[in-house]
Amino acid sequence: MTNPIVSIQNVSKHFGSFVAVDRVSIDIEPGEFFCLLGPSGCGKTTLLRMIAGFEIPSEGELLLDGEDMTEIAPNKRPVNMVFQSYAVFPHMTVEKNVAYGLKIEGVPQAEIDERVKEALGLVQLSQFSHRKPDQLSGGQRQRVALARALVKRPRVLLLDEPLSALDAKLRDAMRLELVKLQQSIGVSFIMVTHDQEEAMAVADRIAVLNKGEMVQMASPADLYQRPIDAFVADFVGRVNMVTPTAISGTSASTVEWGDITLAQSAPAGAASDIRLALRPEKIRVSDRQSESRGIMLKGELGDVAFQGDHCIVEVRLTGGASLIAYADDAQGATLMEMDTGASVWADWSPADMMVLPKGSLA
Amino acid sequence: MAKHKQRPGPFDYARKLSMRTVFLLTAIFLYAPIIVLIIFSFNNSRRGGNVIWKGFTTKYYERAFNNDSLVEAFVNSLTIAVISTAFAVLLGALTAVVLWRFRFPLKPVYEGMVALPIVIPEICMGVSLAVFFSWAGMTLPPETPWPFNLTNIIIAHITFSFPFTAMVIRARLQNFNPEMAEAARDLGASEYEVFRDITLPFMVPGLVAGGLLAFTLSLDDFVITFFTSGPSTVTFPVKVYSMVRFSVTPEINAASTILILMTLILTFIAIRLQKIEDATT
Repeated sequence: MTNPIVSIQNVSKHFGSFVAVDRVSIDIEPGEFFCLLGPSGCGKTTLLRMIAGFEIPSEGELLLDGEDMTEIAPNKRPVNMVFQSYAVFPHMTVEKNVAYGLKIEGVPQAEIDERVKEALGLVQLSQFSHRKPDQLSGGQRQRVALARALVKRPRVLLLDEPLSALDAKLRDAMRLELVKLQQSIGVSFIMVTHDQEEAMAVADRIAVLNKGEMVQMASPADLYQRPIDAFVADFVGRVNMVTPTAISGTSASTVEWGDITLAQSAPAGAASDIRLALRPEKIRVSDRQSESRGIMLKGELGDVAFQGDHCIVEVRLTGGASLIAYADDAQGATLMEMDTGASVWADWSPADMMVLPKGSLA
Repeated sequence: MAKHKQRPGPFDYARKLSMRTVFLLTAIFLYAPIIVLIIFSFNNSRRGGNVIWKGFTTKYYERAFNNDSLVEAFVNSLTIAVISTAFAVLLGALTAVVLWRFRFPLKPVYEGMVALPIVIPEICMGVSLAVFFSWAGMTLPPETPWPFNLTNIIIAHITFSFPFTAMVIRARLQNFNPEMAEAARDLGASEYEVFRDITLPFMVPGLVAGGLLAFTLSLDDFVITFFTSGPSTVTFPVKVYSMVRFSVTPEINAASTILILMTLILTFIAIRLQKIEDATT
């Protein structure tokens, strides 16, 4: 077991009476791509800014490679950050932007030249070194910001919503580039994002934050398949969710879906504090009543949205609620040819039904 | 194929007759008086110099240059403008940074107080400054050596031009992305280095614009200067005024033309400087 590169120990941050971060503890391993994920205002950016040194924690400690960094000034920390707006210096060329940190550090000019060249090569900007930022595209500016931070050889690279200002296509490409870059240089990345898809695509581990508290920390797959509560299930990926009116042992009653059998017994507590959650890809939608895998509900076919490799199918249940299901292309083709309102059957296995505490779900 | 007559689109301003007319009238309205002034500075006629063209001459330029009191007033004006601009830019920049960077009690009051001289009528500023100088015992004896005899005027000019420079520089800082300062901090820069390397270069266009504004305001100020100048200190506008009281001679036209030329050159240099700044740093 290696020592964590960043150790966030019971850190809180108060702004007046507002609690931005509430007793969060996270250990980040060397060489890890870590994501802080949460809705806006959850405290993820404040947490990142505390690691960078722009905010001082109200309580708790921040260790960097075993050394206390809680109150060290940002310019004295071996971490570097890529800002949401990139914050590329407009009056300097690409080269000067990247060299700035080394110049301030007092690195000899020959070494600066060499390291800048290397960093620009790493982000594929070598041929743009003499351009001014206003002559670059958004994606190129972002890579300047990356090179500028990486040239300092930080122990940890912090990224604040680095992809949010890019258009969708470029964002997907940069996601892959970020992962490749991180793997090739082996530095720990800590990235803040509100986009769960983005977090799932890049991260080794994700911490989900809500209202200043850490709700769950796990790998993307665990987060998706074994969410700790209804908030995480709802925030990460798509989910069909229902509140039971009564629950006892492995049977639950709901208004919307009728009576449902569960594979696991519900946690203790009132039924209204429980949520039943089902991922869309676990539901099979058929045009006829075939052999059930456990639970089968009859409904009417709603909208079918073609997505290329799959279809998103809406099933309107007799109770008035709708289920969202994903159908593979063969099944989707059948459903798309049917009329809206035709009878369909949705079925799933009780084992796929997640029984979760309500948690911090609004 | 039939040729279609293309109708001007909404953005083809220059192709619409109405637009051209407006443009032409605007140009005439703005520049005709100045052009007339320049043309008649070459008029070979002493009396009624700005009405009847009597042939070309440059003798009034010569005469203006040989008019010692006019040259003295001109040099005074330039000296006052240079010194007061330097102080106004410095004070304005500091004020702008304070207003932009910090939060403190009664900040809106302070902000209002800085901006107030802009809207106070000039005549009131002039009178109040004159009263203040005499109350404070700051009346300079006539034998005060140059350039110290200009002290009161310089102080007055700093007073009325620094709110303008503060406003202009403040407006520039408003567009500063605070993440740029944080990025520099993050890369290892101290607070001072951030200011030197990031904030200050960003302020330069504001400093230049504010400086130009202060310079031109100072150069042509009449009202406040009139109240604060002693009997022995005359600036160019005040001198021109006293000369015009008899009649507008081509000499005045010549001197004014030189002033216009100087302002144009200065503006041109400032614009060039800014472009070089943009291209190299």
